[in-house]
Amino acid sequence: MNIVSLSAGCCLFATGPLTEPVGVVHYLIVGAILFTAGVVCMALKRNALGVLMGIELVLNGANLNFVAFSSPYLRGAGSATLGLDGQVIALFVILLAAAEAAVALAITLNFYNNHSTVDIDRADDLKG
Amino acid sequence: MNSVSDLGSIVSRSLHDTLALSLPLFRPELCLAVTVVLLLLCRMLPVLKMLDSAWVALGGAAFALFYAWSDLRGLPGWLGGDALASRQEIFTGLLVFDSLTAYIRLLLMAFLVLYIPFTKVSGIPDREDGADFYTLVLGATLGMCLMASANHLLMVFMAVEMASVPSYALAGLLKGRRASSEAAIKYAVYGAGASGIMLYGMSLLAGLLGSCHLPTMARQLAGLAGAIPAGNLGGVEMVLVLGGLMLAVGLAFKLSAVPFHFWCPDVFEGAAAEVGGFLSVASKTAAVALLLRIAFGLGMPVAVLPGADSSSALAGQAAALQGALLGDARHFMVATIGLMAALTCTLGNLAAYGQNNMKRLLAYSTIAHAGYLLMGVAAAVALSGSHPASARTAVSAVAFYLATYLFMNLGAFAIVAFLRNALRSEEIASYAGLIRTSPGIVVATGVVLVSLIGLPPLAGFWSKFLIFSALVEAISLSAERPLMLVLLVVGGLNTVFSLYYYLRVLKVMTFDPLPADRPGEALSLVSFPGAIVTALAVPVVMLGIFWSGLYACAQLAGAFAS
Amino acid sequence: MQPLFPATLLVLVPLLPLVGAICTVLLGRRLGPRAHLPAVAGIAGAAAVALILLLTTYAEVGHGGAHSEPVRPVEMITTLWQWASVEGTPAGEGLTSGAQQGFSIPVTLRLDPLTATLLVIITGVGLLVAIYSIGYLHDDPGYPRFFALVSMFVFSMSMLVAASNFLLVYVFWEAVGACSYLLIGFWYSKPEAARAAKKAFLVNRVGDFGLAIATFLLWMTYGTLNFHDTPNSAIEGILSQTRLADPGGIVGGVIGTAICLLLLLAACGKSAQMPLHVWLPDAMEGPTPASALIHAATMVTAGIYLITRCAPLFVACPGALAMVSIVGATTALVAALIATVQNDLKRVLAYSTISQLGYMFASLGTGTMLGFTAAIFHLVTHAFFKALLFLGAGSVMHAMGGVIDMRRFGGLRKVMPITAATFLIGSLALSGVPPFAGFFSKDEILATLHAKAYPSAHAQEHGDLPVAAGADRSPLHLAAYSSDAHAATPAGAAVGLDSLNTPAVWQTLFWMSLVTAGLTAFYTFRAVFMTFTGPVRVPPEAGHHAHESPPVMTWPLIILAVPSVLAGWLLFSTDALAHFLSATPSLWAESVRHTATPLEFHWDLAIQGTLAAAIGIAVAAIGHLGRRSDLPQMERYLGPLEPLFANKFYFDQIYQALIVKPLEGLALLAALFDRSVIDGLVDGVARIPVALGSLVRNMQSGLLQRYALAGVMGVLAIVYALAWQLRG
Repeated sequence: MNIVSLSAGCCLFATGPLTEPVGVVHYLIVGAILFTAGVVCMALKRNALGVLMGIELVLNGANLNFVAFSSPYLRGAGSATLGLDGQVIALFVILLAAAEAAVALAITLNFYNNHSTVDIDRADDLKG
Repeated sequence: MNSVSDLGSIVSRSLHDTLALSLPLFRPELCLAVTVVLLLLCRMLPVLKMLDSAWVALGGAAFALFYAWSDLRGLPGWLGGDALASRQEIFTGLLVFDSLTAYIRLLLMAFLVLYIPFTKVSGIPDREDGADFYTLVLGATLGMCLMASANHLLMVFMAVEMASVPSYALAGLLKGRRASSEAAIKYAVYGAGASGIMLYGMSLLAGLLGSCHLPTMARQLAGLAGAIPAGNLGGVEMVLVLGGLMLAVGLAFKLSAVPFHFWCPDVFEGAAAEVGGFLSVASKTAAVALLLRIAFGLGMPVAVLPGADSSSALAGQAAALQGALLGDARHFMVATIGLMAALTCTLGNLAAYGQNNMKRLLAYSTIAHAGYLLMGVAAAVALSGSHPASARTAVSAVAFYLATYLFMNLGAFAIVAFLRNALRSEEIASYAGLIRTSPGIVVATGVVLVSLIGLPPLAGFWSKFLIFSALVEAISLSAERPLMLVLLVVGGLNTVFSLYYYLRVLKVMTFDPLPADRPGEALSLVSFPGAIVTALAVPVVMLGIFWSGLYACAQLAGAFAS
Repeated sequence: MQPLFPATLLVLVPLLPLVGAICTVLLGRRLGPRAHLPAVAGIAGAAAVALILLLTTYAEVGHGGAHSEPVRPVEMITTLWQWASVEGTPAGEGLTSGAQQGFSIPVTLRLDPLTATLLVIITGVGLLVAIYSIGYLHDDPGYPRFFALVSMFVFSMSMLVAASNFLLVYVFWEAVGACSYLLIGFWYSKPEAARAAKKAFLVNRVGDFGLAIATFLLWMTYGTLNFHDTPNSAIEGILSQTRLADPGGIVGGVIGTAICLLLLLAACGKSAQMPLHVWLPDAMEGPTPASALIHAATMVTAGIYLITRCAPLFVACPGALAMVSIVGATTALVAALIATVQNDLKRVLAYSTISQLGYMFASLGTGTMLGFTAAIFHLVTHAFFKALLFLGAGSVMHAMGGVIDMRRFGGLRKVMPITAATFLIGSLALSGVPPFAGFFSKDEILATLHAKAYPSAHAQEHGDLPVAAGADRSPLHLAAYSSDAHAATPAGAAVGLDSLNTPAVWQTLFWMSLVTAGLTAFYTFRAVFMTFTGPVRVPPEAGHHAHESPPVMTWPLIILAVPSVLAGWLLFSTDALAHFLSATPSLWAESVRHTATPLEFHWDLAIQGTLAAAIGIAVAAIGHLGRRSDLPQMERYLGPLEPLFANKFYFDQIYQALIVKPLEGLALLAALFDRSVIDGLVDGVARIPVALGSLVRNMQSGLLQRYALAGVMGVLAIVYALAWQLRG
């Protein structure tokens, strides 16, 4: 998790001292951190469950963006917001993520039954 | 009080919109949904357990096909009429019904009607798994229909997920097999990751443009481009490009376009041939339709928006103005799609050399064909700004390609599946000398493979011919001349490359000696499997000779791009 | 105006044999020894329909009587479907009118007297041959294949004569060639048969090439390939009544001559005329019924048909016409000379076929109405008696266990009396002995050549006739006529070939034909005497077969013997055939009709012809009657000419040395170049994708996270490329 906190620190540094009111940018930064953490997790974890968790992080990072963009309060008057669309999308994504996780876990279980492991690097019979 | 009546009017309006306008145009999807429910009920109610799920699914698909056909026939441009866009947004703008929707839906339903008997005859799924299998297939197809008609980012994501998640389960259908479980986990993880990245890209695009509704996004994009002098967008442009690329990742995954094609060979090899056929044909068709939707949705603003004054000429003028402002966006899309097309086509064909497993070879062939399709899309987008009529022709070429591709590729996978049943092997070497025991099936294979190469007089020739002529048109008319020239050369070279590995299969089948331990006839054309193969191979020949009828339908589909 | 009844019935003539062929192919193995049923039924049905069509057409033309009323052209056209259709380009400069009209190939059948006559011949002879083959091939392993091929051939041939479009003619020209190839090579395991089939195919290609080029030229010249007028089209069909009624309708000059010479080349290929005759004798390797069907009665007449059909085109080009006669008469003489020393019975008949076809060509080349009708007349009688002779030879061969060398048997009249009697009738007809069929048709041909060679004599004979055959008719009349008619043809474009059209040339041709008539009688009776007279000798191969053939084989002989005796007299005395044919649009054309002369029996010519035949028979009798055929023959009196004739004027050797050998050398060179240079290049180029492919496949490591990494790298590469492109 070192990488995650490091990147979060960098981002905070980039936006300056914590004096200005919380705006959409702050949410975006958190979203970006979640996204990056998820991608890194996906790319580096050997355990299939860990990879699936990384995917959840990515989805949640995107969700955070949607919710933030949908708030007129955060974006300030005048600029276009997603309105309810963003929040609805977030709800749907949560739902779809759950469905996807269910299927992916079932598949992982099946993989475990056949390979006696959930190490994704052991899935290398098919290649070439 | 006031707010209550407002609420009432909103409710009644949305009820009217849903029941009177949207649902009648949604009949094929409704049929599929009802069938899915029926299939689930079949598992639960002991009375219905006697019913073979394949026939239930086929019945539902047939109804859906009928409605899809009547929808296409109901289009204003049917049979020589004015084939202008019959664009109609349904479900409050989440979906759009137009000629492309109708055409792709018809293709998908026709695919189902051919596919269900094929799986029934080939014996995968067995009776036990039947209900699950057809539930998944119909559910995924429902998602694909939504992909073809998506008009809103929510629907884009949802449709992609609805099509993908059942496909992950389908890839793992052969539960006890190591290869199948490996294929499933690779597909699921890779797919989920790609869709996550796509969602993040969508959130960026939606946030910057302030809308999730594709036509509105296009207008906003034009506004942005108009407000800021060219080349001076700075950070906003960077984020837009980033979001666009992330969106492209998701689409490339669905299309198995390079560099997101890696899952495809592994999944096709590990999964059953039946599943491979489904992913190769239906999934690809829907993905191309979605790509067209997004590329044209973001690249060409539509003249008439719901709620706007539809009769005013100002709307058209505004759309033309915005269309001009979106030139940069189109250029970006053309370049991305074009580069991917060239890479996809070449890598797919090259990697197909030296494959020993027929399913893996077909997987690479699928990748290569995705490349040809992308070329057509690139040409269409390149032409859409300046020459809408030529763009329509290019879209028609893509639509025609999809239809012929349905028959040839499903035919190829059906042959693989039936030969697997007969020979217990999917290795190309095991097909040696088949011509001596089952000449009919070798002829059918020859027809399908030669059509995949794109040699006259088979259907595949006309599809390639139409794509290449669209490229030629783009070279002479559009501003993207160098890229289109590259695409044409790459496409031509690849057609030559592909000759070798397809013909190698035929060579093994005809010239190699028959193994001594081979039992008698592997597969006769006078049998249920033979009938299925014939039903898929004959259209390949017939469409090669009488292609004008199908092309008229494809031209109808192309009208969406106006 | 078009009666529906014969037009739709016409479709049945090709259709029934086609259905028969398809049924034989599908059911052949299951039917086993009854595999002939679908084919025979199909051809029989077609023959019946063809007969009905002939009668219908005859009724349509009407009886001529004493030329009471002028003949109207009769043609009935039925369009089956549009085979291909290309939209015309909008009017533009530099395009011929044809290109502007667009291009369409209707599959159209036509019925006119010429077609009706030939359809009856084709289906009738085809039927007899099919019946005969039931006995001839009864235990051959390829039994169903043979009947499928014969049906297919009858289909193709009837389409060829019924098609109303040059492209269709070309298609079925090739189709009959293909059937012929397959039938010659029917016993493909025999190397001679395979070689003969290949030779026939290759030699025919030369002719086909001529037809293909002629078709292109016709399209360029006329803008259409249809014979008939198309409704809704401004372009008249090449051989349509409207064009033919117009004196300037047919293009002459250089282009016209070129077209005609190319058509002549095509006709030479199919009809085995010099210099493309070499395939026909070798084609006798095929089953004898096939030889009778294809290489005597039907396919070889395709050339005659083509030239007759295109008669107006030829008449417009006198030089090309003269070439037709020169080719024909020369072939007739040379083939007859070769036939005099052949010992293989079927080869004698093959050379005789070539020779008789040469007669027909010589007759066609005169370009007069009498010439064309005489050629078709001879075609009809020849079809009967030559099919009879071939089937008789087949009967002999069948009885002799496959031996056909005349030196190895003799005296067969005692062994197989029916065959001997019918063969004799056929021989008398072929020799032109009155009153057998061949006499009348040959007499007409000699008459038409004589009229060309000695116009003044003829003019005196017909002195009291009206202008049509007036005294002013010189041999050059036609040339003068055609150049008058084509005011459009520049005078400078007069074709050099036209100078061939002189009385001296025609006189030579006439005398050559007369000599040929004598030679014909000689070699025919030489064969008869060698085979059927003398002491009875039977080769050991015959075994238990040495007896008269079964009734299924002898009945066709008897049936064919009847018209071989009577057809000539009947058709000549009533003048029915000539009158009937003159209603064919091609012959009704102004330029041909103009040359019509009333029927006349030339006693002087008849006497000359009969005398020639008698001399020939007498010489043959001196040499061969009653002798053992394996003893030294009359050939020894020929001296140095004997090897020349026996080696068929060294045609094969000359072709071998001049064409085959150099081509083989060139092919060897090309093969060497191909193997060393091209293959090396191609192999090198072919290795590139394989190498790249293995590189790409190495990227497919099977590891999911590497895939993800590759994806990221790929996106970066695309971004880089985009940036580079956007900047540039």
